[in-house]
Amino acid sequence: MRTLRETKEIDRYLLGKMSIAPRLLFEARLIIDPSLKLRVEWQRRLYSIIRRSGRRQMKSEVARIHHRLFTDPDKSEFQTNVLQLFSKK
Amino acid sequence: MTEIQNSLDIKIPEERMLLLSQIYEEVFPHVAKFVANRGGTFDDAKDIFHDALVILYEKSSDEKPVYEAPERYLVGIAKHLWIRKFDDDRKKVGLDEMEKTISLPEDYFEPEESRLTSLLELTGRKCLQLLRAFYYDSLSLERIKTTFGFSTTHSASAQKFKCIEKMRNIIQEKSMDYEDFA
Repeated sequence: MRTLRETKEIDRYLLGKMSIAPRLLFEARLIIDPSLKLRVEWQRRLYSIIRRSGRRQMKSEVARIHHRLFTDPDKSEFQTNVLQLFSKK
Repeated sequence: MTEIQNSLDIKIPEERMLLLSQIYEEVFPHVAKFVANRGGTFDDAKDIFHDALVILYEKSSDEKPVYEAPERYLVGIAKHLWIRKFDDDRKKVGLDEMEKTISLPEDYFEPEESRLTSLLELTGRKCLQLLRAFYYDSLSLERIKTTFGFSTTHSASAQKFKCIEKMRNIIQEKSMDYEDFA
């Protein structure tokens, strides 16, 4: 399949896994083929969105931990230690 | 004081919860102290520490598990985040040799494409989960095969590329509509 092969190539290009010669060749193709250039751009956006989405999930995991540590009565010593740092002016 | 168990695997959700809780309890006071000394608030400390934990996670992969001593590393990331967010003087913050070698992910402060992200989360949930395992969690192909129930690593890899093409096509369709909003 031609498209699959191309998708794999774009993947290697975006992840910086191409060695110098294939990369230069690929970059030459980007110049002469605007539609390939667009597919590279969309794939780049996809990778960025995957990271955003992963980050969002990780942040909500961390927020849950924070909430638990600052509401659990067993952790009152920890809570006091941290909050004290911000109470004295 | 909780001991941090380095045997816990940050890439396994249940173990991650435990590991991050231990790290949180152990290291947050240090980061909070640093932020308080620089004149920051509790919420500043919280935001910075949460970002630091996310970045610590992103820097660990199957090949390179979470750092032996996450304490120093996290405080280092937090200092960099502080400098970046509040434009504080690097010299006044004072970075040691190890801390100077730390770099933040270059796309961490780029604006979000939240519309497109939400759309893909809705329409391509399964694909996004698989792609996240490859491109965000940096799991090994072997582990992805097991986690997602593929019979071979080859079929896991083949599905990955199918998903990339599927999601890329959605982006292609939507990018025209959303160009003004992105």
